[in-house]
Formats: sequence, structure tokens, C-alpha cells
Amino acid sequence: MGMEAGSPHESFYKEKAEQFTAETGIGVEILGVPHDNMHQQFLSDAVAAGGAHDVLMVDQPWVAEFAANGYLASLDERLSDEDRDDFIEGTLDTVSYEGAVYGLPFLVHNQVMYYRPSLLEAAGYDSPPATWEQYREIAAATTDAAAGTFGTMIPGNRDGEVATRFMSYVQQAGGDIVDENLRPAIENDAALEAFAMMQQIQFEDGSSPEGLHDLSAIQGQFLEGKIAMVAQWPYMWAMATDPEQSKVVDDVAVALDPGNPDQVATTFAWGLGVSASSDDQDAAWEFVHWATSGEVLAAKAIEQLSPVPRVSSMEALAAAEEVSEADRAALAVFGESVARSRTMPMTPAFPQYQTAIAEAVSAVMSGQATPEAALRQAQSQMEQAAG
Amino acid sequence: MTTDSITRARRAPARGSSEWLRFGPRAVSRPVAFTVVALAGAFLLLMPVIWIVSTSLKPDGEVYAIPPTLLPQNPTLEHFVSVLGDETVLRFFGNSLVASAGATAISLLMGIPAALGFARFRFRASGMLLGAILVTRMFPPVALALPFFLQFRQLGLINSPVGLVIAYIPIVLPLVIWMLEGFFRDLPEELLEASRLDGLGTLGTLLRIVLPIAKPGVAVAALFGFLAAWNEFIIALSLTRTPDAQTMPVGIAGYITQFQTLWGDMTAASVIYLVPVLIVTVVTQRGIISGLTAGATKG
Amino acid sequence: MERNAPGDAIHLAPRRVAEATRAPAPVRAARHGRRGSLVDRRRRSGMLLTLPALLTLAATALYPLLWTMSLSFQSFSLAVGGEEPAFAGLANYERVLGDAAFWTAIGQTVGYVTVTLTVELLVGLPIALVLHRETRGRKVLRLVVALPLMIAPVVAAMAGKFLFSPGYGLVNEGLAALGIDGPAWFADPWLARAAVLSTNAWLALPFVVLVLLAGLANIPGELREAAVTDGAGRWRILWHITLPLLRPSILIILVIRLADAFRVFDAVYVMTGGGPGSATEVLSTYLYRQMFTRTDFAGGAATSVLFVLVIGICAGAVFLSLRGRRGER
Repeated sequence: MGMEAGSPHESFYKEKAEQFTAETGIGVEILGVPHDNMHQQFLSDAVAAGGAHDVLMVDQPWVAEFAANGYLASLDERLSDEDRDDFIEGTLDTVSYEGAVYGLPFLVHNQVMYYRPSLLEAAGYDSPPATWEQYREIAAATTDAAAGTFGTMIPGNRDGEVATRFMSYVQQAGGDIVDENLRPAIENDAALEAFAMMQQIQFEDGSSPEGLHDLSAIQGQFLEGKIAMVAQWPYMWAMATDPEQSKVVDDVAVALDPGNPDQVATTFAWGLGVSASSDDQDAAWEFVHWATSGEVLAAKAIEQLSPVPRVSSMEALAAAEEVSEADRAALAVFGESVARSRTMPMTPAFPQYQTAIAEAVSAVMSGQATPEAALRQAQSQMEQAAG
Repeated sequence: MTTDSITRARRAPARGSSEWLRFGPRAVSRPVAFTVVALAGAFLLLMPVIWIVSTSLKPDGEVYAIPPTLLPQNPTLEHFVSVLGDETVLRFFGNSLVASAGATAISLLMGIPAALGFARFRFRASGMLLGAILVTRMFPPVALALPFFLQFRQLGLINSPVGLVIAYIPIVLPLVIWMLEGFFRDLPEELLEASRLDGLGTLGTLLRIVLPIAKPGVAVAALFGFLAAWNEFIIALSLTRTPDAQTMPVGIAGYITQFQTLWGDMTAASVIYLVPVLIVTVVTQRGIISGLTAGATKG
Repeated sequence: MERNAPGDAIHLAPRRVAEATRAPAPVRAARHGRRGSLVDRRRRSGMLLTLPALLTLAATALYPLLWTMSLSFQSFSLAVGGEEPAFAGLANYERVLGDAAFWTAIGQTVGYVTVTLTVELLVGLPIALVLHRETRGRKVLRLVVALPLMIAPVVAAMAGKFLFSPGYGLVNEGLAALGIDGPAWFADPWLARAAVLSTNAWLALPFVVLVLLAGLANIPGELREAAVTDGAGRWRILWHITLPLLRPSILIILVIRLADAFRVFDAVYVMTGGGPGSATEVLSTYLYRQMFTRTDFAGGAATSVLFVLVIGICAGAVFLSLRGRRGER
């Protein structure tokens, strides 16, 4: 099976796979694939008959595309009612296309605000920002460029991750990138407000370090203790509280993303699917089912202090003794953030929407295009992709 | 013409390949300023290589040090241990070796006779055909990736080192023919004349007369054919999926992940990747010199 | 492979330069006097010797090219149970030519090729002139210049990505030592282009320098001595004697590096991914994305054909213009 290289999921499942082999006698080889290449690797792998992977780890944006092209096997008939009931409401939708289930999720999450309480207090704020205005104000107040510390980091690199961050901003401003029929509609006021906020913080206030930032830069700088507030995925909580990986262990907390006015963030899921070109779909299904079982997901949740999409696993997590008070508080934030947010549009063209949005964000944040022009171009590219 | 052309034939290919590796002892002193500029320029040119080697020896903490360090303060071999202990890196390495050596061997097998044919056994349209072969060097490899991908998909050659060998032939073979054709063209006519009078057939001429003299030229062509395949990226990226067939460049690019770039391991892998190229260069370098001297004593 | 195979430089330069400065060897003229049967036998041998290579290349280069051309006039889908291939006329070409991103990529590729060739010659010529002299340390300097021959473009691009990064990159550290505040290279379109370009120029430098050195070695020393006797200064010698005699070498560099610069991919893919915005998008990265992200292989076939055409036209134009001028002399 192929998994995202360098991700916590890859290391977790690599360790756990032996247990699966011991129980079932089915050998598993987990192959790391860098996220940037995952889409094209899986896509061409599925295209190439007799694919190299039996189980595919699929980012939600790809589910519709892979399902529509017949690259993923439908799991509808294999999935029992008992299992269906145990998945938290709505989570199976993230792996469904036109009513059928094409994978099982092991993670349904969105980004929350990580911040350092000591820096906010030193600047005279006792709670994290709830609105964009407060966010901008606190970011400026906690910036000390001479000392190399900044209030926040605004994303701008040209990659899919940055596109998902921009989508969250648009949803926070009450808009979306598509209309109710899932047709592209990114030239809207919410998107313009998002760009205005990003430009103000980056260029006018200088509260974000120079450069086009991506996920690894944002994560690295925050864990180095250089940044007061960043939006980041739940998986970083375990890293931020680990003294070996983080310099802010005793000075980190999470809150909902600031809103304008909606305190939301686009929800995404990661799931495991069975490749339609697999030679042994039964074994592949067995692995997918095992890897997303209540027991394994509970172990994953406790080890990574990260939410999982099964009711029974979340109960096990709540009952676990090794979870500290701070961890529980963080988990509650992760849960609430997902509960109040929407997911991405389930359309086969979504990966191309992501590419178009990433290009637009990168063009604006490098000063090559005005927000209006960038959005116009993104809209036309998205329309072309939607056909 | 004879002596001149013999020396020229031996020197022309060898000159390019080895001149930059061995020079006469004559030295003229120059102003200090010139030396300083030259040293600064050399340092700038060496920078990327210095950085690769130095980073491969730095512990993780030092890789991201601000301000950066030029040389490792606490040198460590941990990245080499980790890379050499990683089975997938060894697979990348093996795949690179198989694909490059395979494509080079096949290209030499076909390219040596073809180059001789084009250089010394002209026939109708041979000039045009040679021109056509040389024009294939203009093809962008990414444009070859498309037909190979679609065809290999049906033949089951995606993600296979054999597939890569096939896909590298249109890159390596024209290069080999191009280099050797020039070399053979400078061979003295008397040699071929003599072999004809000795009753050697075309094949005999090739094996007994041409090849022994052409050794240095073949070595240079083999080296650069090998390098072209060894360093190739986009075709390998398009036609391979997993460490079963992925080559070193694809593996090295894979050290950039969404979560972090493992610079230490990446540079250590790069150093290991450079070693065979240096070895091959040194080995063929010797072959070139010995081939040269052997030719000189016979002549 | 985005740069020349370095062997070209080493091998071809002396030969081609020699050809340009000398009369053709009398070998061929002598052959005409021989008996017909011998010529026939030679021809047959020639065909037999070249046949395996010709067949192999027909299968691995010519056939893929022709097949790509035929695909470019078809519509087909790679989805499981997708549409059957059908003749589509010029639809693929219309789609590609109507895509603004394609024109951006073409414009930037041509711009990149032009600037990169200029920079390489401007940097390579002084280095070659210096290395041509009998200078102390010349041996070591030549080794240093030749070193990038061995380095894979991917590795050089990774090194470039790190060296140009703000904060922990050595380029900005070096600028800081000169009192210059280093920029965020990859956040600015022109600086990102400069970073990609200098990485590739570094890789191509050995080729340029070695060809120029071979050309310089073929310039008779007496010419220079005569000019010095006539009282010509260093710059006049360079301009009126050295450069005109280097024209064949420069022609080789231009034609070969042109084709290589057009295929630039590795450094862009690794260093910028085509960004910021689409500032470093080139034809190779456009085509790669068209195939593997958009899975538009039919459009990709059309792009491939256009790509080959553009290279052919540009290379042909450079070749003819420079050769034509040489003929005038």
C-alpha cells in the first residue's frame, strides 16, 4: 500500500502492520510517497494496469476523481451496518461519491489555531483572537522582527496545502469556492476579503516573515518558538508537546480559528481505499477494515492525541488514563472545530481546483497579480477543469 | 598526411576527455589580485558541492542553524549510517545501476558498429540517416515520457527497470553514435586499407583493428552515455512508481516531503550517488591513458 | 535530462572546430578512384553495420514520435471503461493553444533559453580565456570548472533550493557579509527565475568552457603574435581575432545548449514547482502537469508535438543565421 511519506500516519501504520500480519497472515508493505507526488503517482498507478499498490491512502480531494474514473473499488457491499453506525455521523460522506462508499476514513479533521499564551499575555491579551480583526491586531502586537519573532505566518507557496488554507479563509468570511451546484464560483467578496486580510498582515503590518510559506515552514517555525499563532492540523499537537520536537512544550494551546465572523475551517478526511487494479482485493479490504477498526483507531487516537472518526474509539480515548487535562482540552477544540465546519466540494475536478487556487494565492502573495486578477484567472481555470 | 592524421586520430578524442585532468608543469606567476579573484571564483563554483558534502556530515540540529555554518562543527556519520541502513535507498541505487549500465551496454553494442558504418562505410542516404539520428538529441525527454508511459502501461513495463533500460536507449544511443562517429572519422585510412589487404572482413576489421585502437574513444562514449542515463530524472519520474524501479534522482527528490525535508539524509544519499560516477571517471581515465600509450608504441 | 550530455563538448569541439579551420581530409577524394565493386562492398558493409542501431532507434525514437503525432489528433480517456479512441481533428490543438497557461509556459521558456544562453557565454568566455593561459593553479581550476559535469541536475537543484533559502541558506549569508540584506528568493518572480537559472548555468558551465577551450586551442599562436607586433591591444585582439575565430565553437554551444535549455525541468520541479504564481512554469513542467495532474494525455500529445516544433524552429534559425554569416566571410 502507498502512504504519505513523512506523515505520522505512515509511521503509525508501519509499526502496526506487523500486528496485522501476525493476526491474518497477510503481508503488508507500506511504501512512503511524498504528498506532492501522491496524486500523480496514484493516478498513473491506477491508470497502469496491475498497479503497484493494493491499498491506497487517499486524501479526500481525490476520492471523487478516483471513484469517477473507476480506479477505486466500491466498498458498499463489504461494509456492515454495524460498522456504518460506529463511524461518526457525516464522516463516511468524506469518502463517498454519488452515494457509494469508496474508502474508510481514519482521520477527519480541520485546522485550528495553535498559539503561545505567554507571548499573547506579554502583549496584553489574555485570550486568543476570535475575529480576523483581533487576529491582525494580536499578530502585529506579538511581532518583533528584530528579534526574529513574528505574530503569525500567512501561507503563500504554490501547493495544494496552501489552497486548502485559502479555502478555510473563504469559508471563515462566509463564502465558498463553489456554488450550491458545485460549480466553480471563486470570484466572490469572501475570497477578496481573505486576500485583503492576508496582504495586510503580510505586507502592511509585516507580522508574517518574508517569503511564501508552506506547511513545513509554518510547522517548523512554530515549533522553533519563532511564531505566536499559526493555523495548523491536529496532528501537530503531539509534536508541539513533545520536548524532543518542540521548543514550546509548556507554552502552547489551541483554539478555534478566528472568523470573519465564522470560526470554521474546511474539513478534510484521509481514508484508505482498495485499488480497483489490485490483484487481491479481498486481502486489501481486510487490511482497510482492520486499519480503520475501533481498536486500531483507538490506539492511533491515544498515541497521536488526535481525533478519529469512530464513536467507539473516541469513547476509548475519553476513558484513557494517559491523556492529560491539556490534551483533553485540545481534543475538545479539535472536535468542536470539525462539528461547526463544512467539508470540501466532492467533485472529480477538485484536485484541479486546488491547483488553480494554489497558483492564484502564490501569485498574489508574490506580488505578481492583484487579488481580482488572480481570482479571475483561477475561476477560468476551474471552469475549464469542471468542463 | 599519415603521421599527422595518426597523431590527430589518437589525440583528438583523448584531448578533450583528459586534458582537464592532466596538464603540463609550466607555470607562470601572476599578480596576487588575479589569484584572489580566481580563488573566489573557484570557491563560488564549488559552493554547491561543498554544501552537499558538508551538510551530509552535520548533525540534524546544525543543518538548520541560523546563521548557517559552512563546515560541520560536530561532524557525524549518522546520516550515512541511516541512509546505508535504509533498504529503499539501496534499491534506488541498484535500479539506477541496472538502468544506466543496461542502456549503456546495449547502446555500445549497437552504436560502435553503427558509428563505424557512418564514418567509414558511407552508403546512399547515410549522411541523412546520421543527421536524423543526431536530430533525435533535440527531443525533449518529457515528450518521450508520454508515448512510453502509454505503451508501457499496456506492456506491463511501468515500474520496471527493464522499461527504463528501453526508455533510455533513445537518449544514450544517439549520444554514443555521435561521439564515436567523430572518433572513427579521424582514424587513418591506411588502417582500414591494411585490414582489407589482410583479408579481414568488415566484422574482423571492427573487432581486430578498430576496437583496440578505439578503446579510449569507446571509454569516453561509455562514460558519458552512462552519465546521461544515471542523471536522468523526468523519464524515471514518469515511468516508475515504487522503490522496486525508482532510481536515485527520483529517490533523492522524494526527500522533500510535505512535513519536512530531510536534508541530512538527502545529502548523504547524494554523496553516495556521486561515488560511482567518480569511480567510473577514474577507471575510464586510466583506460584512456593506457589506450593512448599502447597506440603510441605500436605507431 | 535537461542539460547537454557533457561528452559532446569534450569530443565534438576539437573535431568540429578543426573542420571549420582546415580543409577536409583528402580521404574521400581518394576513394572515387577505386573500383566499383569495392565501393559496393563498402556500401553493403555500411548498411549492415548501421542497421541494428537504425532499427532500434526507429522503434524507440521514431515510432514513439509518430505515434504521439497520431495521438494528438485523437480523443481518448484513461478512465476504466472510458471512451474509445476516436479521431478528433484539431480539437486537442485548439484546447492547448487556447490555454493561457500554455502561452505563459512558451513565453517563459523562450525567455529562459535566451537569457540562459547569454549568461552562459558571458560567464564561460572569461573563464575559458583565463584557463587557456599558462597560469599557476590552472590544473586545479580546470578540475573545479569540470566538476559539475558529474553532478546530477536533481542534486544540484536540491542544493540550490537550500542555498537560496532565506534564514539558513548560504547565499543570503554571503550577501549579508557584503552588507546586503538577502531577499526571499522564491517569493519574487524574477528572483525565483534567477535562482533556477543560476543553478542550471552552473550545471552547463563545464560544457561551455570546455568547448571554448578547445576552440581557443585551435587558434594559431602566430596570429596573436603578429597582432601584438602590429601593436594591437589586448581588447582589440580579443574582439578582432579571438572572437571571430571562436565562432564555430560558439555555434556548437548555441545549438546544443539551446536544445538542452528548452527541456529544463529538474531544477524547476525541485526548486519552485513552477511558482511563485506561474513565474517559473516552463514547457516541460506544463506538459508534465498536463499528463500526470490533469491526465489530459491527448492534449499532452498535442503539446509534445508543438514542443518539438518550437525547438526545431529555434535551433534551425540559430544554426542557419550563424552559419550563413560564416559563409559570408
